[in-house]
Amino acid sequence: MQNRIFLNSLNHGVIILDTDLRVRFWNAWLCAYTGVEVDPDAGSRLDVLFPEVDVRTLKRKIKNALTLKTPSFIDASVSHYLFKIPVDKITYSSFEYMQQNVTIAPYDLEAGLVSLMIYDQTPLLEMKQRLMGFNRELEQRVKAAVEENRRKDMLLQQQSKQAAMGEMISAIAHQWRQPLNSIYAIAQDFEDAFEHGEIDKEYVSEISQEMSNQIDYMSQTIEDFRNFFKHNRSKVYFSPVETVKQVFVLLSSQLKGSTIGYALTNDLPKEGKLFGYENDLKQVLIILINNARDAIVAATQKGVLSHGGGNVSIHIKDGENGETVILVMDNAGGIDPKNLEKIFEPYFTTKPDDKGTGIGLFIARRIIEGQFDGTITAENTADGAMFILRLPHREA
Amino acid sequence: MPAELLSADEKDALQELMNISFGVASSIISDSLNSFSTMPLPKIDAMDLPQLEAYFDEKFRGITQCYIVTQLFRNRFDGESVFIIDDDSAMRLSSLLLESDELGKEDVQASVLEITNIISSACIGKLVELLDAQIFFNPPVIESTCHIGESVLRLSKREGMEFTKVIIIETKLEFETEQITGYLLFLTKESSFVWLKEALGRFLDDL
Repeated sequence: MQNRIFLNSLNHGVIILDTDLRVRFWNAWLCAYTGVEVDPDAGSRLDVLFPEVDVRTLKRKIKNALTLKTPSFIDASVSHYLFKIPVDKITYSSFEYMQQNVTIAPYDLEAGLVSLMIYDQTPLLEMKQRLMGFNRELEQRVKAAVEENRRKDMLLQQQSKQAAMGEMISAIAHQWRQPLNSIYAIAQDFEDAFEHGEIDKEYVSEISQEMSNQIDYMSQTIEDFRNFFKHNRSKVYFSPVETVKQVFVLLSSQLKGSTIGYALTNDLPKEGKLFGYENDLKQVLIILINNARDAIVAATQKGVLSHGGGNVSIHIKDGENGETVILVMDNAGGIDPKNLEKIFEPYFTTKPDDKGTGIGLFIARRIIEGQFDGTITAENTADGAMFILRLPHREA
Repeated sequence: MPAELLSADEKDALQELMNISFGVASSIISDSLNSFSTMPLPKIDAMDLPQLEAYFDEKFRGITQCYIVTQLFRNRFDGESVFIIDDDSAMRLSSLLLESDELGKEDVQASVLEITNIISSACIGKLVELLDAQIFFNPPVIESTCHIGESVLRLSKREGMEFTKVIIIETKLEFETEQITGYLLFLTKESSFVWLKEALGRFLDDL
């Protein structure tokens, strides 16, 4: 009697079943939730009361519980319920039937009886479903944000490339000025030579060779620039020293035109090799050299630097951790210390509106960190600014 | 090695008890699945908790998609069963248990949970019963259906808050003709092994 009172006071379902699934006890909680009253003496079978019961599985679990003398379980999250108990809520529920965890424990081994404890897991699983929904939504939002950032990055990269292209066209103009002048001079000399009757086979051969040299030089200039803008997305091993040399060749006319000196010093103990997109490193170096050039021009105009006294130097060496270090230095007086923290932020510029977009250094950092797993930092020296590129060695 | 801490008699007794309990487990599983299964006698090993991760990685290298099911057992013999079975084996196991080839993911999960419970109950429950003690089992839980490395890492870090050394009892469940292989590990704490040694002593005294 005491047992019966105790079992009827429990806030979960309790059934006592025999191996033929006859109900020997049915507690008050089950009466309330199912609306089914069961007379223990009537011998009602659970699978008759609730035809959806999986008889084979339940019998197997009962048999195992009695044989092993330990409980068997039904998990709400995968099996959902033993039999249908409508959730019957006024407010919304995502489940039509109560989600049940069921423990099938041996009750009386001799009589072949087991107890079934039925626990309502519906609120827990509803919460789990909601959390999964939130997670899915969060994943979608993160994915959308990542995609948006990627799109913005591509746009910035594109803008940076276009800005670099503008610089390059200007550089081509500088590069071509000298050979064009030479060709003009040859043309004038040719006219004079004709008037003075000096044209002979030797003269024509000499003129022809000189013009070919100048045209080859112009053609090579175009080829160099074309290579820089070529969309080549395969990573290769390349020498950072050769890369710096090529960039100086590309920018030499502009630097000379602004009477800026330039120099490369190499302290690598042996021929260093980097692995990655060589053109991306070129783009970074062009950004840094052009910034140095603009700073030197501005410092010269302000009288801080004497005309012709500007200098851009690049030093390459091994780092303490075996990485390649490239130092890009100028003598234009340095970066205002309060701006040092901000110069790599997008759209930050100290240049006049028509000179700077503020994306160059942002892109430079993206390339060094993203493509080379490296770092780029800036600091001031006694004479000017110094950008430090640390590029770890990587295998293909 | 905790096994080395056992006397020759204790080792013999443990061997005998495991023979019985693992035999019972094998027999019940064969009966439930109507197919012949084998469970070799388990190997017992002990290691510091940080080594557990490497042990799992080494042990289950090559298995990628699998179910990892854990089940806690509590009392004087205290620990956790871990059943690891690859997706294909789990599907075949489920087909045998439910006698159907048209199975959903939840059917496979329910089967894996049921088999884990049978193995834990039979192996550990029987062993403890033979040593005249009582044990309580939590319902088994599917820890993961993903790559094994990540799950095991989470498992070992969480358990690391409670104990520093683990005793591993390892065997495997095989249905040779159906090409089903599942790995069983019973992880217990050092204190449980102390109890096991005492219980084996009492068992030998009663003989």
